[in-house]
Amino acid sequence: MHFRRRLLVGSLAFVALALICVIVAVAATAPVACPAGPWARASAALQPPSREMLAGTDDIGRSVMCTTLYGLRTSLGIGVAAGAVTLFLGIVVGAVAGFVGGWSDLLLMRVAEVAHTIPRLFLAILVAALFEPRMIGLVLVLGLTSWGMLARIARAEAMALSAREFVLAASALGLSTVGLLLRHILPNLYRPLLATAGPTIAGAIVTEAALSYVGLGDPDSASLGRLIATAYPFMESAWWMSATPVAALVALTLAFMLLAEVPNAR
Amino acid sequence: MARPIRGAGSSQAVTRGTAPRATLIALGRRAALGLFTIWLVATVTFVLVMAAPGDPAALLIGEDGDAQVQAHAAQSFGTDRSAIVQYAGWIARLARLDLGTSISYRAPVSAVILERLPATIALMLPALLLSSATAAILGLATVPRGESLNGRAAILMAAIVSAVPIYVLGHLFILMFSLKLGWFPMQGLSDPRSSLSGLLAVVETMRYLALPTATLAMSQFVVLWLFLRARAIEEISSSYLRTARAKGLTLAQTYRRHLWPNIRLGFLHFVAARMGSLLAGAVVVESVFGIAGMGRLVVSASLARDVPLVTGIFLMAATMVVVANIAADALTIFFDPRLDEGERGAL
Repeated sequence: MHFRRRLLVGSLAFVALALICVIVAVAATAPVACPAGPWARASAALQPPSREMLAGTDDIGRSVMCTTLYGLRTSLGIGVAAGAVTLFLGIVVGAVAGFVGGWSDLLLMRVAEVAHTIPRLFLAILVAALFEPRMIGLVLVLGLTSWGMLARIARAEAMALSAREFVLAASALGLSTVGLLLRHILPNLYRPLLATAGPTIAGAIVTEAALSYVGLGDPDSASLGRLIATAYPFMESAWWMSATPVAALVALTLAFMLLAEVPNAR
Repeated sequence: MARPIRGAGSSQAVTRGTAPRATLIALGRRAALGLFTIWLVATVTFVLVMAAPGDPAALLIGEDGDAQVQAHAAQSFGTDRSAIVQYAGWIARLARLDLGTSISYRAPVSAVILERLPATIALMLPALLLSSATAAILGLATVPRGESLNGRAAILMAAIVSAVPIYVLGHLFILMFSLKLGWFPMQGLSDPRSSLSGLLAVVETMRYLALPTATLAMSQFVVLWLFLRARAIEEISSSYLRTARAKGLTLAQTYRRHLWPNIRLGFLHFVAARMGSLLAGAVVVESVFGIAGMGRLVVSASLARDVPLVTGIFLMAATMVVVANIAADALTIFFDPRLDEGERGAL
């Protein structure tokens, strides 16, 4: 049973990684497959999928494949950028709070709690109202509000590490607190990092798509959420307008959610 | 400590007597922390508004407005004074629950929000109850006897369902149940031409609410179910459950009387912690189904750059999240049999 479980967990993680590689590769072909960019009209409006237009065309004659490819790039970009901010903050805050302890622990964990409490989508909507709806604002909002959970896990791990012999030995040899953090604590926090990276990126992708769906996304970039919203009135008459962006978004979200299984596979 | 955790039985001991002082102090501490959190959120909001280009006064009357009118607006907004004074004034007004005046509605923000709130609550509350009840019942009914291949398949299925965006779920429901089958209306909360009244009107509203509620509940259900399932698996090999089985209880009785009382508080906290996600879901669902609630209001206000209104709804949403967490803490303090014993030992 144990062996079978490992095999399946391993395969789920493998599927996730393979799916991400495929999606990244497909998204990378966008400038080659659609050199005219996402907004260019390619043929007559509302054409069903054919040999020339693989995914059909939308209500104003744009290739659904091209708009989806560029939408995927936006989703991947926002996911990776917001994920990077989140993971950096979560790991650093968690390590400092757990290893240094005392007042910094109390303060940092209180801040983590507040950051975790803020309703993310609402803050993004507020920022869209105050500033132009731009990608950078969204990346910051998502990155600055999602690190609370990781910080909590990293803190517990850092606390456990601080009592380990190799850390005590390094400390006894005279390594400073900062040196200990950089050399011994942070490198050993890869497990919580791996476990949270996938869901964090998936969360950022889902929020960006939802914002674009309700019309508050960055108007300059193609977005899967906006594609799905514009395709909705044609749901019955032109199913292909919805099908490709929905499939792309579901596959992308699923791949990053399943990535959380990677640490279990080792 | 040697006493087994009994769950339901011992929790009544607390509610019957007067609340012990320790309980009140713990509750007070939670409430103070909640207020502190809301203050921090308000401060972050203020910093954001200050950092934003243009001032709200100019937004109210437009860029080419009369200079005198602009000066008057600046004065009424307080934008001609220093940031510290404005901050103090704003916090003082918030403390009096004064959220300012909406630019697009030309009415107090609190009045505009309160008018839209009932629709959002009518959507969220049934979705919350439906999703947690279904998750609890199904979660307990499908506890596996250990790690299994089926369990992994269940997780994969759940992951696929939860990867479907909530608005796509809504589209699918509309396609199936409104357009194809014609069972439910696809937009709004009522038919403006309908002349139903009394009970019939309520039934009619429920028909309008069915699909949005189902959509919101479905998007929450999967996550709740996975959480409950994981907690149940953690508990399943505990000796108290083995003892309960050994003394002759059926599996269903064991789960109901011994497993559920031990995991329900954790479940409650998890449900409360997902308040933000429920609110976010309501924003999207209201957009999909054209329901005039708080969620659609915040989107249209943001598009119209109605900063006071968006700020008010943001603070309201943050408060709802904080209150949900405090409520879960309060229920834990009252109903956790373990806390109960500890306090009795302390008194």
